[in-house]
Amino acid sequence: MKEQDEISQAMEQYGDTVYRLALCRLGVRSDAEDVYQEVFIRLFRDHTKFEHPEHLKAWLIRVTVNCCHDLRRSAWFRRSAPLEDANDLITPEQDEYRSLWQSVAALPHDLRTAVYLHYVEGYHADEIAHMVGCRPATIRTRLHRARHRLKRSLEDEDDERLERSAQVK
Amino acid sequence: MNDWNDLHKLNEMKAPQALKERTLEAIQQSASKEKKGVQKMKRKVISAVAGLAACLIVLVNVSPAAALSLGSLPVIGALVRVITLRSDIYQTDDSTVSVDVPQVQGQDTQRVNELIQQQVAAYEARAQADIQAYKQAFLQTGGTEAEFAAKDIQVKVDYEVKSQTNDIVSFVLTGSQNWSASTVERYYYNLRLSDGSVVTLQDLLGDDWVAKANGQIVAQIEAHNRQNELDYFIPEHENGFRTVDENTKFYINEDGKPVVVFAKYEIGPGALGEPEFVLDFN
Repeated sequence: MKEQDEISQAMEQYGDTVYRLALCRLGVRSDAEDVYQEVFIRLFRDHTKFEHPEHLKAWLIRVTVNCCHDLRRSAWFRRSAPLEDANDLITPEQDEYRSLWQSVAALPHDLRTAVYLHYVEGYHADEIAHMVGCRPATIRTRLHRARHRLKRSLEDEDDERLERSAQVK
Repeated sequence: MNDWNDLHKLNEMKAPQALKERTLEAIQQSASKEKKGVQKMKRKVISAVAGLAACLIVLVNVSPAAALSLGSLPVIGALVRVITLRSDIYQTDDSTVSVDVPQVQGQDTQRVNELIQQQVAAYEARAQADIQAYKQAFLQTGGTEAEFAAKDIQVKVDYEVKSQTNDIVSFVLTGSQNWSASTVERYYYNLRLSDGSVVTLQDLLGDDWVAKANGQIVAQIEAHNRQNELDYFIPEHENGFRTVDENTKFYINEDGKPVVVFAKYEIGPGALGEPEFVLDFN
């Protein structure tokens, strides 16, 4: 069991990452908050001796992914509406982030983690693969698919903009 | 958004301060509860030692039964708990395996811990055999190695503590593979903390445990069938529920009530999932 000071320090350093990752995976703020609490309670009870801060961060990310996975598998979550139908539930506090979240939320959930860890946290495919427990090639494929989807959605947005401006004229 | 690179701006987004405070408070409460538990236990040990020290030597020497029952003292039992023995993630040729193996800590738990480790090892081996059989069938029916690799098959073994009191711990060990729902296997453990022995439905419900459990389960099945379109199987024609027996799986919930569990398809259509029946005699 860890000292409360250690938990508090870990929360200060990596709490935001845990929260954003959970929100990105689950799309619902209340679920992300539940996962956040669960992750730090697990850290409190865990006996791992972390060799360096990055080790702790990788552990927290791995546990966050697992907790999100467990929540998605839980009976309660299965009976709830699928995430893809609930994108509008994503309500970050600050409006400026809303459109960014919507872009991530538009992706299938298996692509979101890879996108978040790569573009937001700055991890490479190999590191992400180690953290989430799959092959690096899988992560590269997911990033490729995500980029492809983004490109398509940007093209659609451009078309809509052109159409709207043509109607105004 | 104009570019994926804009996403790094999300790094500026913070977790709510109130959430941090709530979490720290929950941890603090949990720590103080555990500390109180330990102090209470220490007090019990001290008074027990003071009270018993004088007569223990005599008792143990004159009564083998008294010597054997020492392992069952509740004070010793309260030390037992379930922890993660091994948390591991590794790659095989065709899958990623993630394993969390529980271990029951305490007196006389070696046998149950060996059993858990055997079950985990057996499941890991079975999972690899299942995946190989699946892969062979996949390749023989026109699939390619690359397509199979893209399935990104995951094997997971983990556990969940359903309840823990000063006397009993109840937990479930689950093995699953993400390519098929039929690969899910669950093992339920209901153990006395005092000596690691197994708690049975008979221990909880008394000598007429079969009739009592059957009565409740049948009543719940009938109530379900009246209220829902999707019925449980009929015993006579469709292998529906007939009776509980020594092999019936159950766990103990946080209210201390036994919950009988059936596998998917065992007594009803798959859409009913893994049916659970809380046996409540209050």
